[in-house]
Amino acid sequence: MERITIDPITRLEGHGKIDIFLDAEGNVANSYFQIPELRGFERFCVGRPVEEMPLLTNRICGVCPEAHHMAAAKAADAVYHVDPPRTAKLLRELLYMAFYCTDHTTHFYALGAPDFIVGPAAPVAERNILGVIHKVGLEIGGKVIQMRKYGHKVVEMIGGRKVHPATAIPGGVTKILSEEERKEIEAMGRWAVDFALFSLQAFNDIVLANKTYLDLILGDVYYHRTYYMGLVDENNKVNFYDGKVRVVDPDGKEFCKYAPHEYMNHIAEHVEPWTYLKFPYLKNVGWKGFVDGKDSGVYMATPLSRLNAADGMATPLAQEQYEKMYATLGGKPVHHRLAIHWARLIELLYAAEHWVELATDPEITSPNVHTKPTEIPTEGVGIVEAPRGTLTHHYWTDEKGLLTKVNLIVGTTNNYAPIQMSTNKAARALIKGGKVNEGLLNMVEMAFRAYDPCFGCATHSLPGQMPLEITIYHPNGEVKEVLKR
Amino acid sequence: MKILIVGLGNPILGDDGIGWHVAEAVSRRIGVPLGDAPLPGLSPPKPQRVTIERYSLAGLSLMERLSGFDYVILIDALNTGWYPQAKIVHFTLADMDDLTYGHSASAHDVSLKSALQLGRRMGEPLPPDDHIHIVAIEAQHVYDFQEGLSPRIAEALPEAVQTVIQLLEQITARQQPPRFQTETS
Repeated sequence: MERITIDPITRLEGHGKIDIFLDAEGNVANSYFQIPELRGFERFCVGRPVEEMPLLTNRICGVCPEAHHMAAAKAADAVYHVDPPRTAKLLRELLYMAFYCTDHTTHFYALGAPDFIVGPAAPVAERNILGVIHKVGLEIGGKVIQMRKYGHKVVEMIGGRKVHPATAIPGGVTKILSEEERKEIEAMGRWAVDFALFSLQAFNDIVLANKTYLDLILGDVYYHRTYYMGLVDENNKVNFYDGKVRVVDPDGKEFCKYAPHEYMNHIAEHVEPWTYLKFPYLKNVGWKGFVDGKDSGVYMATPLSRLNAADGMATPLAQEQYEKMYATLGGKPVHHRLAIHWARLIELLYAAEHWVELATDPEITSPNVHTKPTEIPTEGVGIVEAPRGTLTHHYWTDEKGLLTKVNLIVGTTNNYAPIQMSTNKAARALIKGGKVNEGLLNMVEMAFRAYDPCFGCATHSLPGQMPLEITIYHPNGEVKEVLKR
Repeated sequence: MKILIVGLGNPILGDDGIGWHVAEAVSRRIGVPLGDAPLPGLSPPKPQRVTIERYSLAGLSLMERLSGFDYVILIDALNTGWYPQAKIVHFTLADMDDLTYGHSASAHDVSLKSALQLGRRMGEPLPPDDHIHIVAIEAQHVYDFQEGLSPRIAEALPEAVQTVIQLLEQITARQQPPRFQTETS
């Protein structure tokens, strides 16, 4: 039988390509991180009823359908000028916390942990989740699988459907939670809190206790001083579902705080000739190129950004861990990109704690889950925090609620400029005098992996030969070397 | 013997949805309704021998849905540029190199092969790689949001359906006893 050397199963997700250009001395002149673009989503949506959007947008991507479902539902609420009942908001948020636990768990154990637990220099065949299990024990694998099962189960119980939830509609949700279901969800949430604590302990014992890893986190290769963005509640605590978008400057001072409908006053998009994707930046700072600092409008939107942009966590155990992280890494804000992994685990704990809080709220089983929209639909913006960054949906409709215009800024897109900067910096550090360091591929991968980029919605994937391809060019444009996996 | 047929892809991304269309046509041909496969331990298992699903999933999430089946047929679009448009290719997961084994199949997941290895290590009853068949259709228009297939791909639909049905007949005719693959450390 023919030997096929592609992986068609990867097609739902992204494929990165990095071109590195060398100067006459053999050092890096520049590098470009490119990802293919998905086209025509706005055109696809125009003319459809806005209430279809929570179902339609969660088809954009197989990785975070729940985030699109929530952002779309909130935008549709805004289009109809309707405020859902408290119980509906609680149910949406509860589903969202379970999703966060699944997503953050997957990223940490399958993608982040191999670099730290197995080691960045370990043979490639061992540097994966199986290597993690081999090193730490089967128990971890079992817990990861269990966490994912519980997450899926809550999404199914509240969302009415596995993977692509179908519950949220303008004005609320369609499904009431029974007391029996509530009890089961509460029990699973308590398990999730223990799991998150276990994960943080493992991070502490394996990563923080190892000086080599701590030095890697604190090293210069993965360091950028930028602005940070995240959704916060009325007390400026991290919130994934609702609130205002807060941005802090590289010194950690609040730069702006805006309601979802004001986002266009604060965010603009820069275009580069070498990619179809746009680079969002802070309009009121301005685009100064792919550079660090207070004068550059580049911002980051990741777990670490959310922690940097907030004054703390809204749950007690997560708050303790938050304080510990900043005490260990030298105060706020933290600019070390690899600390995103640590922040992700603190968010996992917050999501699990909040899951229990929501599941034990006396109103969670109330049958009052929908406010009927009565206003004429116009325009609306919905913002949630997707695990990988602030997610903005903006819809315009005619008076019948049929879409006339759609604008989305997806989680990963926010980070396109910082990812470009991080991969560029890693390439510059590892290529000197034309000598390509063998560890380049993984060091560059580590640079962007920390951001948890998902190009499934920023773009479509191609089942390309490789998840990542690095091409190094001589100054005359000839290909010097192609590194791929 | 339990057999799962899965149409993979994104139904609103043009020819990327070919897997969904083939799965739907197979469902009509053999008279098995489309339905959600139960997640292990969540819902009662369905009695029928053949289950047909349509998913936009990969890696770990896809692996979790293959649990408990003896044979799997995945139907997906292929975008290699190596084959002429609409070419139908059949192979099993065992025939594929796991190029992404080392790390991630993508920025956010592991490859199906790695996910299956993980599942087996954790004791999930998963079919072996050579029981996971892939019927793939080379397609180019997989980057533009639209419903429906381009004419060339739509023309290939009957042949793809026939390929899946023949494969299903071969699997059934073999009457092989269930063989769950578990790995020991």
